[in-house]
Formats: sequence, structure tokens, C-alpha cells
Amino acid sequence: MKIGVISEGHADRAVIENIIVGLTGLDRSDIDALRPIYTTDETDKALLSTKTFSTFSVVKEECEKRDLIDGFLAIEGQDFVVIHIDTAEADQYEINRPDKGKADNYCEELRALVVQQINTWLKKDMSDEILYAIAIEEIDAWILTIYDSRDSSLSASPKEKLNFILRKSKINTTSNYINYSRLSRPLSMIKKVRKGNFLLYNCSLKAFFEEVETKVIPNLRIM
Amino acid sequence: MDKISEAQEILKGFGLPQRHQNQISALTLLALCSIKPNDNWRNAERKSMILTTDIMEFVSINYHIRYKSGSREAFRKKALNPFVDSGLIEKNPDNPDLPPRSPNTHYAISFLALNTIKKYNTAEWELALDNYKKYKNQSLRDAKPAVLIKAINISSYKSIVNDKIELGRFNVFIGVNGCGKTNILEALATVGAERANDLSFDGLYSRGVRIARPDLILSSFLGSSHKSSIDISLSIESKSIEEEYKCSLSPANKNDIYTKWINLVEEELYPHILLDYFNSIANKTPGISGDDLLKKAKEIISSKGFKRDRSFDDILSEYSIFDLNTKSLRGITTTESKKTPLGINGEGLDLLIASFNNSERTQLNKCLVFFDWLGEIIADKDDKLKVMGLKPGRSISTLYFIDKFMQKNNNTFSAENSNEGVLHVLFYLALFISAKTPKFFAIDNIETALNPRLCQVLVSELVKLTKEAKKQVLITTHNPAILDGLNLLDEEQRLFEVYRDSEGKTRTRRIKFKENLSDKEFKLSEMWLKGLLGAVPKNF
Repeated sequence: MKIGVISEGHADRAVIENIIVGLTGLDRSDIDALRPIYTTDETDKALLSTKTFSTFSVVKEECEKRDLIDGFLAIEGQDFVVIHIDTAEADQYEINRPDKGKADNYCEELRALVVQQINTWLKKDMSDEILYAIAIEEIDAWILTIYDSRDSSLSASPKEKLNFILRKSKINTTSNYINYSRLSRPLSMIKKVRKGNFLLYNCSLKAFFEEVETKVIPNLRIM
Repeated sequence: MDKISEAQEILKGFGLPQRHQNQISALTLLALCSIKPNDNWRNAERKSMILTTDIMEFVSINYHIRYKSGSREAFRKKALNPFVDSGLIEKNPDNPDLPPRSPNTHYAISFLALNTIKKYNTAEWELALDNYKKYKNQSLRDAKPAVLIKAINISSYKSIVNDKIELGRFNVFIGVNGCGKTNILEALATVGAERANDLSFDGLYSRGVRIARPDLILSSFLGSSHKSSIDISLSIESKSIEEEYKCSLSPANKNDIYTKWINLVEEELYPHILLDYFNSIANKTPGISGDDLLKKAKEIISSKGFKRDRSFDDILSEYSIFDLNTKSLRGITTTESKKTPLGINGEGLDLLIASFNNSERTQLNKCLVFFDWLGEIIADKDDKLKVMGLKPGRSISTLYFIDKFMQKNNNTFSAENSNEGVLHVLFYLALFISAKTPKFFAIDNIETALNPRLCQVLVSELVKLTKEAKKQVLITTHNPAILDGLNLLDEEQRLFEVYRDSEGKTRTRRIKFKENLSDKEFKLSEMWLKGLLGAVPKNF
């Protein structure tokens, strides 16, 4: 089985890949990057650079067009697509954030709103084929659970916090595929995930684990 | 009605055009069926006949019509060539490898036509004629052996630790640079060399294998033991029977690049094989002395080694990896590949085309539509155009092309001066059309020198030719346009992604659409470029 990943960047995919590989036993080569940027050439990029666009807009545009999603799912053995989006820019994609102070389940509520928004973009119910990887507020919060034994879902700027903690331990903080794959490697080890209670420290991380467990694993048993 | 008129009626029934229902055509049919004026058609016989000594002689003796020797061409044009093209008769059935203008060129009525003709003037004639039309095309196709490699399992060959591939007839492999596509092609070439008792440096090299020291050929991955043998098994379908073939190839010396490889599976059978050799010699030469028996057995061992003959040996032995080089196609490098009729780098194209019969030439001329400037392809067998100064002289190729936009006295270009794309296309067409080229082969990087649109139409044409000639091919490419010539809904056409897994081992995955696919928004080429098929680098 192959799983496609639409993510904001290569570093985000590295984290998602570790989780999927750890839970399903799939090989890393079974995880494909679906990058809207592959549909552009250097001339397009030059034209795009004159416009300002945020990282979420690429994901939003792909959800609305569904080119990569439908194309990927047309091939035998390719049954799931991960859509990753950070909520840090949620205001810009028309999400009314719940009040952090008033909402008992801020994280769950915000995640549900983003899932709903993605479904609106997709224009059809694809919940059996889509694995929602909604990171509150940034995917760095998921990595933070490994290095800081505290709830990371309420952190306003998990990226900064992760950098601060890693720098203290003199760990490389570069945000790229190789480094983020290394930093998040414990998320691919189920025993470490349980022992470290990583899922208790971030509800959006826990929700993504549940997505993979409930949707992908039963399909693997059938194959 | 006399016999000539009856023969004309038969030709009409067979669907030959009116211009091939004349007296010469009728007499040729009568000769090839050995029907004399008072014979009954049910006594028609199949005999191999040479035009001048048999056919014209038969006509002269039995029908008292004496044609001059200069009429040979009329017999060929009005009867023999169209009869061959329509499948009514066979050319050189007793020796298909005869050169084109051999004095021994012979013809025989096809079995299907013979059995139909025997029903002429009977109540079953119409039914027989219907059956002839129904089965004619099928029998033309079935004249070629139908061997198909259904699956290959490769263990311990370079980056392939263990991989199984279920092949179709036309197979295309895509993947990032260095993923191991060519290793798959080479593993098959190694099996071919084994079947040809040619498992040596030269045997492998001549089949297109990149030779390395055996310890580099045998898989050696971090954290696993260095393998000592290459294990390959094939599942082969021949005449609707599926056979298994296994080999386990081990180098005599792991550190010697020129070492001999031994098939350990056959080695276990050496005593039985030797007994088979003795039995075969004794059966052929009853009463042979002990010394002569040993001498004969030694001769067999030195020519074919210790191996059990298998029905598919010829098909596998011929297997080569074609990887074209424009200079070889132009005939301006010293011939590197001695393979005939076509060398693995593009050698020998001119000679093969010169030997094509009418039907092959007609198929080859399809490529005229691929190049809007191409008026004609000339195979100048006697190299007369060289004397006219049409090539500088470095090239040994006798191929020329006419550019239809140029003035008549300045429109002929030698292979040395011609466009390189046309040479590549011609080579592929010749390779797929000719009955003399391998039935099973591979092409590495088929897209070289070809326009993207040409890639699509060429592949579509090659698929058709592969099916018609019952060949089987493995192709690698880095050009997405090649994929647009494939119809993946046809089980005979298969596309594979070759990739390295997280441990670096080469794996192969078939790319196939889901069964419920009703519409496909993008061309396969676009899907590949968008990363939907895999086979693209991921980290940039």
C-alpha cells in the first residue's frame, strides 16, 4: 500500500512519515510526497514569487482542485492521502478560533473546525480516504512532546519553543526533511510513544494517530 | 471449367484482388498444389517449390505454357509476393534464414489454404472458405512461437536482494536514477548467457551487461551477509504450458572479473545430464565404441556445457539489452557489438533493412509518417551512392534518406549526415518487425533522441508490432511521453515503478489503475510528472 502526503513542506512530511511507518509497518518508500509545486516550472515560480502566498494556501488550492488527490487515488494500492495543515494561520483560512480561555476542549474544537473546512474545500465526502493531519498550532508541537513532557497543544509558538529547548541541548534545529525525520524518529517507535506518553501532551497528535489506526490499519489486515 | 479458371475462382474466393487472379497467378497456385489438368482438387499436395526449377517447369510440362526466364519477375509480382503477403503460401518454410535473393528461395502452400482448397467443388467449399477467412489472420500470427516470460524472481543481483515481477508482453520500467532498472534487465541477460552456455565476461558483455567484479555483482548490504550466488527463477508459458526455470549462479572466483560462473542447480544434475548425453549418442549411433562415445560426449560438453535442454533455451539465449548509440547507428564507430542481425548499440541496421521482404518493408515504411520531411528510405546494398559522393566515407552504413522538400539532385542524405531521431526510430521498427531479431529483449532508455510526441506514437506502434510478432520486451525510460503510448487497461501492456526501499534494496511495483476507473483526468505522462506514480525524487 502507498500513502500520499500533501503537506506544507518536506520537514512536515518527515514527521508524518515517521508516525505512519511506526503504526503501520509500511516502508518509507511507501509514502509518496504529493507536492503541488511539482506542477509548476521555473517560469511559474518566477511569476508566483511576485505574489504573496502563505504555506496553507498551497494545501487549500490543492484540496479545491483535487488534481493530486484524485489522480493518486486512481491507482491500485494507493488508497489514502494525508492532508497536513497547521492551524497557526487558521484565521487566514476563515476559521473562527474557539476562545482558548472559555473552550474546555480548545484543541479538539479547533481541529474539528479545520477538518470541516478541508471537507468544504474538497466539495465531497472523502473522509474514508483522507487522513487529516491537523497540527495545532504547528507540527513542531508534535515533536515537542518528545523533548518537553508538557502539553504542547496550547503553546502559541511551538516552533520557537522547540528551537529553544533543542538549542539548550545543543541539538540541530534545521527545519528540513533529514533533520526533522531524525528529531521525530521516536514517533515511529510505538513503545517509546507509550512510555513517553507523547500522545497525552498533544491532542492533535493523538487525533492523527487515531486517524491512521482506525482507517489504514484495518485495510492492511484485509490486504 | 478448365483448371486455370477453377484456380482463378479459388483465388477470388480467397479474397485476392482481381489483378492477382490472372493466368500466371492461377498457374502458380496449380503448381504449388501439384494439380495437373485432370486432377481433382481433393488430391492437392503441399510441396516446397523453387520458382524456376519447380513452378515454371511444372507449368511448362503440365499446362504446356512455356514462359521465358525473364518472366520470373512477373511470377513474383503477380503471384508469389501477394500470395505470401496474404498468407496463402509460405516463403522458405524449410529454411527461414535463407538470404533474400538466394537461388534456393522456395515456396509452399499454407496448410490452412491447402485444406480449404481440397474442399473446392464440394458441398463444403463455402464453409471451408468462411473458415479460411476466419482463421487466416490467426494462423499468420501463430506461425511465430508464442513463448512468454510470465514472472521473474531475482535474488542477490546487485541492488536486487529479492524481487518478483509479473511481466506482460510490453513492459515499461520507470524510476529515479540509480534505482536498479537496468539491473533487472541485466539479471535476465545473465540467465540468457547461462542458457547459451556463454556465462563468461564476453558472453555477458555482448548481451549488454555492465560487468563488475563478482563480489560487486552479488548483493552486499549493510547489516546483511554477502551473498554467494545469484538466484533467478522464471515462470515461462510456452504453448499454453507453464514451466519453471531456476538457476543459482556462483562465481568460480569472487575476486576475478573474468571468472566463469557455475549454475549450482545444474551442477547437482551433472551425473543425470551426462547419462542423457550418452543415451542420446547411443540412440543416434547404435553400436558406437566406448572411445567414440566418450569423444562424442566430450564434443557435446564443450559446445553446450552441462545443461538440460529446455524448450525456451533459444528465446532466452537470444535476449540482449539494446542501448543505442547514435554513432553506431550512423556506422561511424568500429563495430562494437558482434550480435547479428542487430548489434546492441545500433550496429547492422542497414544490412537488416536491405534484407527485408515486401511485407516487412511495408511495415517499416509506416515510419514515413513520423517525419514530415522523410520521402524515402534507401538501403543501398551495393554502396553505389558512396561512389556518387553522397557520404564522406567514414561511415560503413549503406542507409540513405530522401528529404522530400529538397531539390531532386540534392535530396539524399547518408546515415552519417541524417537526423539522429530517424535512425533510432528505424532501428526500433526493424527490431520489432524482423523475424530474425530476438523474440525476447530489452531496450534501455528508449527515449534517446526522440521528440515527446514521437515517443507516444512510436510506443503505440511498437506495442502493436510486439503483439503481432509475439515478441516480449522490457523497456526503461526517463521520458514521461513514452508512457502516453501505453494502454494500461490492456493486461499485455504493463508499467512498473522501480525504487529503492528504506534499506536501499531495489523493489518493483506494478502501476495499474483501480478496476472501477471510469475516467482519467490526466495523461500518464502528466501523472508521472505530478508525482502520482512515484518514480520521482522526493526530497527536492
